[in-house]
Amino acid sequence: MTDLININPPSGELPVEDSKDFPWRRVIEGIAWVLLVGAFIVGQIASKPDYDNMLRQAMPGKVLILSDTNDSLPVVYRVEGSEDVVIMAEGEAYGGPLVVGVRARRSEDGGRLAEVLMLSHKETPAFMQRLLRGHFFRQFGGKNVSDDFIVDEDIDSVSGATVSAKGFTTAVRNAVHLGAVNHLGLDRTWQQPSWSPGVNEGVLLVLFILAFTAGYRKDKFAKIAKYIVMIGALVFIGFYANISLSLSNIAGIFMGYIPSPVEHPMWWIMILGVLGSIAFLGRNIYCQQLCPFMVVQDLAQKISGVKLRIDSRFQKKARTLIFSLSWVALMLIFLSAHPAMGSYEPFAMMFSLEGLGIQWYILPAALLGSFFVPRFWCRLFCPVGLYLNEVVRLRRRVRMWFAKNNSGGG
Amino acid sequence: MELMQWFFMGVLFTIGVFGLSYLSLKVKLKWYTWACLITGIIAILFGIGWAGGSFLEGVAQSGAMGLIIFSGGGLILLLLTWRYLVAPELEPEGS
Amino acid sequence: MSQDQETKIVTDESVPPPEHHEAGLNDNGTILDDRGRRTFLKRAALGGGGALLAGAGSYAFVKSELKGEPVSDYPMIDEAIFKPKDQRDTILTFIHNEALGKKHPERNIQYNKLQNKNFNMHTGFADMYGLPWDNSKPGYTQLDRALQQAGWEPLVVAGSRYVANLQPDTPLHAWDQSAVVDEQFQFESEKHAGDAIKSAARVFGAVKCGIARRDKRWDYDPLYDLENSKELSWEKDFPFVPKTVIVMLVPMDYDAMATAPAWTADGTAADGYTKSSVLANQMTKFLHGLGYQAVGAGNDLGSSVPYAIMAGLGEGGRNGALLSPGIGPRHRICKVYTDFEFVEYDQPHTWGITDFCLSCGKCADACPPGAIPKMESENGGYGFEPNYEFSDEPGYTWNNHHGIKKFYSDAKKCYNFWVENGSACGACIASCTFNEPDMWHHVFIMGITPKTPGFLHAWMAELHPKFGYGSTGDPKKAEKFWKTGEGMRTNTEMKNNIGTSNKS
Repeated sequence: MTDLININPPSGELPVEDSKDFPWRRVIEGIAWVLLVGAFIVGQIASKPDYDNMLRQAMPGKVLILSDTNDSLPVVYRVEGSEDVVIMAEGEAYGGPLVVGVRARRSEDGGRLAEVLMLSHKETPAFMQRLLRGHFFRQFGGKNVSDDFIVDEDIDSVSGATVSAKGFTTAVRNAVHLGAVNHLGLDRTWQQPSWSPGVNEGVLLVLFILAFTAGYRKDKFAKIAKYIVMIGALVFIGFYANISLSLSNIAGIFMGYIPSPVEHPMWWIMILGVLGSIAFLGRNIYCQQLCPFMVVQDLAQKISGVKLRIDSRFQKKARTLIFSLSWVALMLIFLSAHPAMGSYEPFAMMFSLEGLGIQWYILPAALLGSFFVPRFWCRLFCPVGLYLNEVVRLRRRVRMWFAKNNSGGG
Repeated sequence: MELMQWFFMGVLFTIGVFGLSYLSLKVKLKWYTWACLITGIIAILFGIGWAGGSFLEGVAQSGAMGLIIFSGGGLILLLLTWRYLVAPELEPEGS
Repeated sequence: MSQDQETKIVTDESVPPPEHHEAGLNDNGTILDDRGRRTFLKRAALGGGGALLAGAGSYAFVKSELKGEPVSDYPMIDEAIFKPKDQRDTILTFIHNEALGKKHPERNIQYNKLQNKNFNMHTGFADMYGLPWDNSKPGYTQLDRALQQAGWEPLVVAGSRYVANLQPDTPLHAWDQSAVVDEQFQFESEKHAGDAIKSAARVFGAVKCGIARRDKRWDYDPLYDLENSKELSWEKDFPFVPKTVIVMLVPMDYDAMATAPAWTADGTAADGYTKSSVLANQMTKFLHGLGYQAVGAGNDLGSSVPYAIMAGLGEGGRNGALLSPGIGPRHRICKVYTDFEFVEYDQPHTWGITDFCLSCGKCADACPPGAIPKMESENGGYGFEPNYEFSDEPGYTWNNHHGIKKFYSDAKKCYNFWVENGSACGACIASCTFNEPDMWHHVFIMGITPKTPGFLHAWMAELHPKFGYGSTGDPKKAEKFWKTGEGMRTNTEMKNNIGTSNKS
């Protein structure tokens, strides 16, 4: 299996054509970069949210009157001609910030939620579908404004979309509690969500530690650890928590969609663990050990025992293919300022069985390929793998550069 | 599209029948090996037929699931049977 | 790779079977010699033929399974509680008549108290259609409202719109028998009569037709004329003594229903009401022309679901609808009451559908107001009396027909949601595992379901959403529906070619 770990050509240098002709390649690359940066800027400017408009679209036919002077969220509106108020607030989810509107009504015991509106979100559609199908949003109707609104306490989560569920609940909580204090003048009788790293965070941390040690030791323990990590990657990272990295995570970081460590410690463990192992150990621990889709492909390999070779020239072309695919995806993401927009990877859907359109055609093809070509997806299509390995290579180059300069100076 | 699908299934079916008949001349296999091989081929065909129907009705998810569960399951069964029950019969010396 | 497996199977080289020793590459370099080739072809033919036979066999099996098994234990009735249902105590009649509202103000008060609502049952319909459209919300746009209104329009023109609220004797379902032809057509046999009626039904647009005996247990008694707030009697007001009830199903559109609870879904429901009223009207005229008395009915006169079950068209589902093999609950039922009785009657059948409902519960999960009994409720919600929330409050279950073994749902909550939603809902139809397009793989699953062991049913029900079917409240589906017209003139997809309807 070890020969498969370095899935990209180890040469380390971009294949630059020797010909003295016009450097088409560099020009094209340059244009691609310029367009990407341009798309990023345009997307950022265009996506400045117009909260008023958002709310008015979601509640047509109602006249809404702003009742605070805040120009940042959360804000409260009164609905003209009724007792209702609408509060808008923001929460962080896996894909980026989301905005909700909560329509609430005064009642004998304070206030009750009448309706919860999802005004804008950047979640992977698969996660949203899962929440919808789990009838997650329905449980907010009729809740009291002084309830806690804490996932797993008085709000039921939906397995496979826990992060989105938490983000949504936070947004609702912010909205409702603000309204309860400012508008209804209630006392703070509810619990604050506490930072409680639970079992899930522990499991992920243990998986990282096992993956580190398994890579360094060659004894029996390492062998066992390797199997545990493999099963953990598949069952926990894949099916249970469904937090495999995808292009949208990488794009999300560039766009500043970084959730708070209190709400989403899993995200931080994942990102810090992966990047940390590259920075300090020079190893891409994610692709080699923790990616659940890699495990699926290896299992398919084990079953078939067929290892078709990919022609090395074709393998080189694959880099260009992935760069092109992910360039298109990133353009979409940056222009829409919506990280989930361009992700073409089928993992999230494979592990939650929720997905949209094209991914459903990609998934069976990727699985079929992996029966006959070792790490078919990783080598030919995976953007996350390519980028992480680029970072590994970058680190190596920096070290070499330091080593050269130091020896030269000394 | 639908015609292509049935044509393709017909081709696979014919290959399956010819392949198994040829295999039956080359090697003597246990009854359960035959059962596994035949089930595998039928499962693959069933999955393709299923996916065809699902793509036609516009539910791509069902098509993908059909391919993965039925055809994928059939493929796994076929590959495992071949590796552990058929291949050793073909090359008893091992390699 | 196979070294460690080597010992598993010992080859039988010492005693090769007689047909085998000449197979393989021979001296000429061809793969098989003549004899080998003959054996090969023989086996290929045998194997291929066998496989084709097996395929034909499974096709025949599925076909025969779709016919179902006759049952003798339907209906199961608790005689101690059972009595015929007063039409005034059905939800759709009650909410549509002010006089009834004045007579029973406590029903509305009790509902609001228990459900913590502020709902007026009697202005509900006006509020429902008064909800403004929103063109930014797929499924709730002007397009969808227009579809819905257009779906009802022929009934409005005909003056038969309130047949949906159980209004008897509307123009399309008139009680007048003056057009009955004097000469009575004599059929050769009872079968001849049954076949003729079903053939006519298909021409008029029925997807299924069954014939049941008239059964007083299913007839509303007394009947009630909503428009004139007047009680009607079967003996004094109805024009004849009915002997037979012809039950027919009109299909609804799959893609429109899939948008539920959006208004789009109500478009096909409304259209279903129109089509079924026209169908009942035509069947009535057909019988009049044969010299027999007949009155058509939609929701009125009698409870449609038990009549359809008695006519062998399907089984009762958890959602309270008739689940008919092939289309599930995606249909509208109409009935024709007639005094004609020289006809072959259909028997109640089972396809294991009610049994499946006991371990499925997808409709209950999808129901926006939670009006359908969940799997977790007592006996899975299946029994002789309602056992939904508050059903033990005195008088709360006035709308249910007690004493029949079935799934009881809370129609008051259901109707309350319609009003909030701005149209009827249909989520229990769209989410039903028996609601599928007419494609071979669904028919296949339908066919093998009765033969699969019960413990697999819950698992099969789980796979339904996993395969991407039956989600509700998805705005994408409304967007998709409005594109389904593309390419319809050629029907390249050949939908509806499997033949899940009765005989054709």
